[in-house]
Amino acid sequence: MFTLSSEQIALRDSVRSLLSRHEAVERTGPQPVPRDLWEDMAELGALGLLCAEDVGGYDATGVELMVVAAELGRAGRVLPFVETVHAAVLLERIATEDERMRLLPGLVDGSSIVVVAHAEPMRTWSSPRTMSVSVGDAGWRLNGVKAPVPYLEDASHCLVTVGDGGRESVAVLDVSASAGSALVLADAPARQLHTPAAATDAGVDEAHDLATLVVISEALGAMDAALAQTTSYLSTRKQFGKPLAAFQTLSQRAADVYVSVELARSVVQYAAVAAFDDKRRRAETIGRARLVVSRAVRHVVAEVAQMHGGIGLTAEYGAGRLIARLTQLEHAIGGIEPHRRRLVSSWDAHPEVQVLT
Amino acid sequence: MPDELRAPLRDGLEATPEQIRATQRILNAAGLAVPGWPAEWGGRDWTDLEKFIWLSELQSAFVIPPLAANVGMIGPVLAEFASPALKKRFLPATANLDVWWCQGFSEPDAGSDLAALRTSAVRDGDAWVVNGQKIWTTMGQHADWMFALVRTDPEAKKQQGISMLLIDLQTPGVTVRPIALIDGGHEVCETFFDNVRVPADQLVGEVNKGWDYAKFLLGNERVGLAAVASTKARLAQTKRRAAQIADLSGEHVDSALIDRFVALEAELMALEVTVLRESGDSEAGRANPVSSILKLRGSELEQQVMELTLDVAGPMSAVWDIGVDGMPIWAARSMPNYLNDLKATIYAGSSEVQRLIISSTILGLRA
Repeated sequence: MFTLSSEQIALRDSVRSLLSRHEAVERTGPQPVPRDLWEDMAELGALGLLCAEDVGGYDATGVELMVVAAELGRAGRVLPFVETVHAAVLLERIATEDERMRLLPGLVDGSSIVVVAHAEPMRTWSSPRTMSVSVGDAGWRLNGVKAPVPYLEDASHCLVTVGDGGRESVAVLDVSASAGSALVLADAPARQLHTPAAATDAGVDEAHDLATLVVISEALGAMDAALAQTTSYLSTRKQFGKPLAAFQTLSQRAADVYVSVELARSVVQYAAVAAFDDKRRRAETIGRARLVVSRAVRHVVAEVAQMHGGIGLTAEYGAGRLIARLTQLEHAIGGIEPHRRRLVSSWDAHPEVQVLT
Repeated sequence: MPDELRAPLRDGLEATPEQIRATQRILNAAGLAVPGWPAEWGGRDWTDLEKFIWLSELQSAFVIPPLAANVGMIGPVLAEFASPALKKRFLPATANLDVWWCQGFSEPDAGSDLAALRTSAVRDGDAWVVNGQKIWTTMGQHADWMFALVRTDPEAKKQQGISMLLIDLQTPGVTVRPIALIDGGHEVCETFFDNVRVPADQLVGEVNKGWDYAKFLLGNERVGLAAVASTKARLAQTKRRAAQIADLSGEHVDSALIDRFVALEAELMALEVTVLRESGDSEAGRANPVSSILKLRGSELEQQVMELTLDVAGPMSAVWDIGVDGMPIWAARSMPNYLNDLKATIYAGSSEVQRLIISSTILGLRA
């Protein structure tokens, strides 16, 4: 059902080789963007995969996106790839032509970082926005707080979601040299990203779904690497005079982790293929994949930490950084909450899930 | 397929032997009873994907699947390893369920460690004389014949002294005793052999090669494939039923139940995609990682769906009997059915055996 084309394999290999040339950073949690690596990623074409050719993009599919994201995950690199895809798709789908041409070429060539500022303090991802808009002579003014805004210190532009009478509306805010991850705005001048009459909801949803595909693909790569490191550790680490692999209490659990990772692989590949299906099928498939990957991630994180013991919790050890990254990804762009909410609201709209179509 | 033959599975009742036989004969007449067999014996040489589609269609129409012991177990073994005379004698009758087979593998001291089996067969003239005991013989009380693993060389290393015999259960010295189970039924039996004479030409293939045939059979079983299809059908059924039961507000299904449906549909999707993802890779008779994934995870999800059905039935689950006023059969039978299905993670290679296969052959974790 699923094999990569020779071009997709070449893309995978070039991303893998690029990442191996950049030394790992022994650090976890939010961190600055390594600009040299980011520009090398841009040079490979990785940042404009879903963008049109007129802005330097590649018009690629969900499969290329999955391939690149899985390599980032495997290498355990913390880069704003999820955030960049989120912003890029939003720009492609709802931005005015002016804003597209203003923001996308820089996003694609790696010279500027554009992020979506959506989360607000003390609110779930799906809550209506409290960020408000007033329209004056000089255009839009924004009032409110967005936090956390990922990579805010590196960003040159934020796409700020605002409460605009019950529908999704998005503003462009130029930022520079921000400190921290909170965007506190009082009468801040901004531009509307789209035309006033634009139907934004579908584009907002699609951008979130495709960014979710990046999240789960990156998580799959990280889980593969974490499982490989764990089996290798179990085979070499000795206690009570024998390798840990000889203890069934560990080898049986490692088998369960393998099953979780393989099921995650199935749904990630399936979601990659469904990325450009019709809206409902795309949303439901990616949403279900997100739930399956979530269960796998939590399982992998707990078991990889436990089976390694203390060494797995050190920042200098690769498996430790992978489980920190997996936990970040698990909660990126709202985590499972918006997907579960959507699936719950349509739970009785279908008799069963159609996989074979 | 006549409705009365589909009612048992739809309602969650055990099918009677007559219903099982009648269904398989209709399928066989349509060329759909033994698609996994070689074409020469009525099969279709289908891939796993084609078999999965076939199983899914049977399950979603609540058709009683062809008898596993005949179609999934002994049929393929005979077609691959038996003498031309045994094939001719048994394969057409096996496909049509004119001969009802049961499996004689497990023994009281040989469960997951199957090669520890002790039932013996000693050559005496033109017969093998069998002594010993088998257990967990599924539907042994309805069976005509048993395919049994017996020890023919007590001196050899434990896997190497085993042969496969075909035993007519009417032979003097055979006693079949049904075992009462916690679901109130008698789905499995104990079978005792006391100096049972089995004609020598009923030995499958070669003497002392039985372990190879058993491995072929178990690799072929594809229990997981069937479980994915049937669990999906059962989940859809439970969802329809949940929507008919009133709760506090009189119309809404409890949100915690909805979460479970949503999660199970996602997990089943993952398993089904795994079937499709690997369907090109598997060869008959060879254990592959997907068989283990499907058996391990498929049986867990099957049990979770049974548990959900039991929870949806709520207070009605206390009934057990059918024919109580106002109580649908599925709800009345939900508790025994749940209890019965606790077997799913135990039979056909327990979850622990599947994990052992994965950890040793795929992950390379060895003592």
